[in-house]
Order: sequence, then structure tokens, then C-alpha cells
Amino acid sequence: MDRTETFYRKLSLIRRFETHLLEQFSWGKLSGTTHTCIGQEANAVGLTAHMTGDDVVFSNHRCHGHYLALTDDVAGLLAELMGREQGVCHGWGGSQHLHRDGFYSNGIQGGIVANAVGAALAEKTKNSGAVTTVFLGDGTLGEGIVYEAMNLAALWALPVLFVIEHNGYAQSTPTAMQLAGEVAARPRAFGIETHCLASNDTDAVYAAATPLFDGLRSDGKPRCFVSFTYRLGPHSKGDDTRDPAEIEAKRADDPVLSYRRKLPEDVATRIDAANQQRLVEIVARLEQSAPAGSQHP
Amino acid sequence: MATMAQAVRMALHYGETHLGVTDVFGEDVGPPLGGVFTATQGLKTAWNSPLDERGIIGTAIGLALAGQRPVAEIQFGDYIFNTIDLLKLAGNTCWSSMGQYNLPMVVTTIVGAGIHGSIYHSHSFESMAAHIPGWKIVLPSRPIDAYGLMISALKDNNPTLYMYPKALIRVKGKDLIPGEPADERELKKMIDAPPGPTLYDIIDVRSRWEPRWPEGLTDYQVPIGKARIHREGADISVITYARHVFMAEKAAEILKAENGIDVEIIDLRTLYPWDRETVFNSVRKTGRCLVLNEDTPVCNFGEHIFRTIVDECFYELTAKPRVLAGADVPGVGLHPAYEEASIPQVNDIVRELRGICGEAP
Ligand SMILES: Cc1ncc(C[n+]2csc(CCOP(=O)(O)OP(=O)(O)O)c2C)c(N)n1
Ligand SMILES: [Mg+2]
Repeated sequence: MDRTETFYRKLSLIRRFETHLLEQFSWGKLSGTTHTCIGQEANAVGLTAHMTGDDVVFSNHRCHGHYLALTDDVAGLLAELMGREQGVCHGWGGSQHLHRDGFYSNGIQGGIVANAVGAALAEKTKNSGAVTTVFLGDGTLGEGIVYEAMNLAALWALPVLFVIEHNGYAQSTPTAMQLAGEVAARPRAFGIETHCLASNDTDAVYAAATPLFDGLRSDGKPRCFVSFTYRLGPHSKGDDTRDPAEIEAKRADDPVLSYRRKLPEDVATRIDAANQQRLVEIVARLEQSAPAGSQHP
Repeated sequence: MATMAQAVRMALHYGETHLGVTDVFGEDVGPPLGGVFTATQGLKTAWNSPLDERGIIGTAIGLALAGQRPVAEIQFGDYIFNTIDLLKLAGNTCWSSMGQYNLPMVVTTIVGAGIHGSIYHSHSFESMAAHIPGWKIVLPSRPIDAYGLMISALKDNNPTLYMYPKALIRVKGKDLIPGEPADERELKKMIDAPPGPTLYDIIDVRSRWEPRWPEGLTDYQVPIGKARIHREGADISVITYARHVFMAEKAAEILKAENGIDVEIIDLRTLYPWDRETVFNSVRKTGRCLVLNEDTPVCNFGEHIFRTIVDECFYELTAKPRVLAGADVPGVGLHPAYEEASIPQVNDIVRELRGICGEAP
């Protein structure tokens, strides 16, 4: 498969998966919390494409896209959300607490950024050559520990990639009410090379990240990638308070639909159908399996 | 009757109109959301802070030092842990300044399990909080207490940690809050922001929406430090609070029906300073007690009550008291079965109560 097809396969898979989740929640079939990355898939796909086996990822509450793009583990993630034994964390953690093979996510904003620094320090000491990527939202730039972590990463010259997914909101609060000054000026204040991109095109994300990963792998110093994007879905589920006209306007720049146009129609249709088929089979299999806890006294 | 979310909102409204509250703030506390659980919807002094818990608590301390009466919200109790150093500071300010500085601030946060929120929407905080001297700590189970305790907290000149249980936030009360309209649909029309025809219309509808606050709200207070007897009984006392008041009630009904055992339930309402007199009187009357809550068991707040009961009522006890707390696990798992295994359930309470009552004196 060429890269365009691979990227589209991932984009469409993530979108389908998350649309399915929102439906399941609205029907009361899933419980707990969830945060979909609908509208932000380009980052997940474009950035993880640079990662190799040893690389480490820390992600936040909006982690499904990052996880799926990296691991392709649809069954594990869905089972986790359903609280099933077969889940990534056996149904304990749910949507925002995924831990597997160098992928860690949790729901405490800010803390993970420093955790990524520690993980990168370990990789550096081991001389593994691994890059540690940490995803954070624009709202999370409100947490002081983000800057403590940037300082440490720069001071100790650690191979950390800070990815700021700037979607203009933290929950219901617009960024303009949260942040003073320029976002990119923050990492730069620590001497961290920072690249900004305002594009939902996966190829553009991939290309922009190429020099960052190359740099990280050659000199091992931290880098920052600021992505200006937009979330097309609710913050969690059914809790959207944004202007509907604003959301409508952003639909023109839907990363999945736009990317689909790069492929011949029959190829795109085939990929969509294969993803759909795969999801349907996994859902059916999980619906028959026993819920978590039934095996636990 | 009002839900706890509505009760808190009405009390805060009373606070901003009568008690000098000028700032009710925190993450998503102001418009358009009015708080994740709508407890601050429609308040004229409510505003959104950045996503920054230490900034929120730190700012509240500064405002209070300047003599204002801030109400600062931490969106979920699960996110308050990174503010502990500042909570320590707030707690010791009056003491360390030899009473020269008061700190009239209220910190609100929602705690406990019961909504299948998994690891970071299920934490309890009371045992940690009780380790921070200088704070008054309240945790109501009923909307009317939520109202009355909020008024008391807003009037207090030193910091109050006002927690409320997630599982009960949308539960309607059984008692009319003074000034609350008798018709709950009327109350809803008056103070609940309407959902839009579709979710995406919320902002449009709400920008035109203004609450109509009930005219007759009063400064009805529930004194801090006063427990209440939720159910009278002669045979055994359950000392509890928050969601477990109602779980204990269900257990009590089962014990009455199946064993003829008469359970008394004390709803502490205030955890610090807790109502020793009401607790001791109850335990002295029944001679048996179970201290019940859902926080983790090691250094559980209930252990402190247990120890004090042993110290003060030892010779009046006819059976060994027990503590029933949450499981010794770092968090609450997602699946309902995990949640149920981590948090005392009605049948666990029944089992403990039967166990205590079955001990020969
Ligand atoms: C320490 C902490 N505080 C508050 C929250 C609640 N919360 C979850 S997501 C969120 C908004 C995050 O905004 P942003 O960082 O911009 O990420 P986005 O949701 O936009 O992807 C908040 C306030 C949390 N999870 N952790
Ligand atoms: Mg954001």
C-alpha cells in the first residue's frame, strides 16, 4: 500500500471508530467518559507515521486517535471502553487510561508532560535512540508543570517532542480566555526549536514533522510542534456549546473527507468498506464476549 | 424539589446578592456551560478560569487575603491533588498570622464514585482533606443541606472545603428549601438554562437566557459542625455521609425486615469539625457502630472517628465497632463490576451490620 492509502486507511478507521463510540454512548451502551478526536485525526496519523518500535508516546484524554494510529489495536481499545477483559487495560482504565507497549495516556492534564521528560531521560540513559512524544491540548498550557517539564527537557537535552494540539478550546472555554501571548513563544523561551502548522492535511503534518524527528534523532534535543486544528465533535459527548455556524464553517476543512479526495474514488470506497467491515466484526465479537468483572470475584 | 445542583446554584446566587460574593470561578464555571454539573449556571459573578488548578486556588487565597469572599471550583475532586501545597497554606494562614489574617474562601469540588467515571472521575478526597488542618470540611447528602451548608460556608471567615457527591448531584430532595417554589417544574423553568432545540444551538439560546431567581430565598443555614440523624434506631449506629447515607438506609430496611434489627443512621454533613456529641450520643444509646464511607481504607477519615469512638465510648460498647470503607486500590475501574467491588454496596453494609449485631456482648 502506498503512503496515501495507508494514511487514508488510518484516518477513516479512526473516524469510523469514534463515530461509532458517540453513537454507542448516545444509546447508553457505553458508560464512563470519552473524548473523540473527530476533526483532529491528521495529527495522529501524520505524527505517528514517524515513530518506530522503541519510540514512546504520552497522550492525554483525547488519545484514541493517537493510540489507533500507532497500534491499530481497534479491538483492544473498544474492549477497554466497554470495560471488557480483552481491553488494553482489562477494562479498568477506560477511554483515557491506555497503557501498552510504550504508549501511556491519562486524564490528568499537565502531569503527563513531565512524565514524558522522565521517560525520555530513561531512553537517553539507555542510549536507545527512542523519541518520546507527548500530546497536549492548548488549554493544558494553563498548567504550570508544562513549563517545568519544558525547562527540564531543554536543560537536560532530552529527545522529547512536545505536540500542542491547538483546537481553540478547552472544554467550553475559548483559548482567548485562557492564554496570554504567543503559544510558540513559550517553548521557544526555553530554547526549544518549535514549528507551527495550521493544516489538517495529514501529508502536511507528516512533512512538517520530518525535520523535527530527524533533528530529535540526530542531536537528541527537544522539539515542539504546534498544530492549529479544530475539533468537529463535542468536547466529550453531547456537551458542545460552540457557535454552530463556526463548526459548520470548519467542516469544509475536515481532515478525513479532504484526504479522501486524494485517492481515486474506487480505492477510497474499498478502504472505507474494509474498515467498516473490520469494525462491524470486532463489535459483533465483543458483544458476544463476557463483560469484565464476571471473571473477577 | 430542587436537585443538589440547583440548591448549590441558589445558595451561590444568594451569596452573590446578599453575602458579598464577588467571584465564583474555575474551569468552565461561567457561561456558556455554567459548570460541568450546572451548579454555577446563570450566576452573575461566575467566570471561567484557565485550566490551572493551582492558579485557581492561589488566586482565591489572594482574593480572600484582600478581604473578598471568593468561591473557587475544582472541576472534579480528582484534579485537586496538585493544589495541596496551596491548600496547606490556606489552612494555616489564620493560625500563622496569629489571627491577623482571615481567609474567607470556599473551595467547591465534586467527589466520589457512582457515575462509572473510572479512574479520574471517581476519587474521594475527604481523608486527604482531613489531613490539612485549618479547613472546615463539609459534604452534604441532601439538597437542603447543600443549600444551608453553602450559606454557612460563605459566611465563614476562614476556608471551607465544600465537597458534594457526584452520585447525588442530580437527585431531587425531599424538603423544600426556604424560598424555593413548591412546583419543581416551575423551578426548572426559572433557573435551568434551556437546552437548545439541538445541542449545537445551546449557545444561541443561552445567550438570550437569563435565570429568574426565586424571590424568597433566605439565609437558611445548616451550621458547620452539626450532624443529623437520618434514621432513628435502637440497635446499631451507622456513622456516614454523602451517598452512603442512602445506601445505609437501604441496608437498614433490609435488616429491619429480615432480622428485626433497628439501625440508626447519622449523616455527618460536616467532616471537620465533626459532631462528636451527636455521634457519641447515638453510639452510647445503641452500643454498636459501623463507620461507613467510600474512600480508600488506609488512613481513612472513618478510622479517626472509629478511634475517637473507642476512646470516648469504649465502656458503653457492646460489640467491636467496625469501619467499612472502599477497597485498597489506587482508583476505581471503569466497568460497573469493578466500581461495585471497590465501593461499599448495600449488601456489604448489610453483611457488616449483621456481623456486628451477631457478636456476643
Ligand atoms: C488536571 C486536570 N484538570 C482538569 C481536567 C478536566 N478537563 C479534561 S479535558 C479539559 C480541557 C482540555 O483542553 P485542552 O488541553 O485544550 O484539550 P482539548 O480537550 O481541547 O483537546 C479539562 C478542563 C483534567 N482532565 N485534568
Ligand atoms: Mg483545546
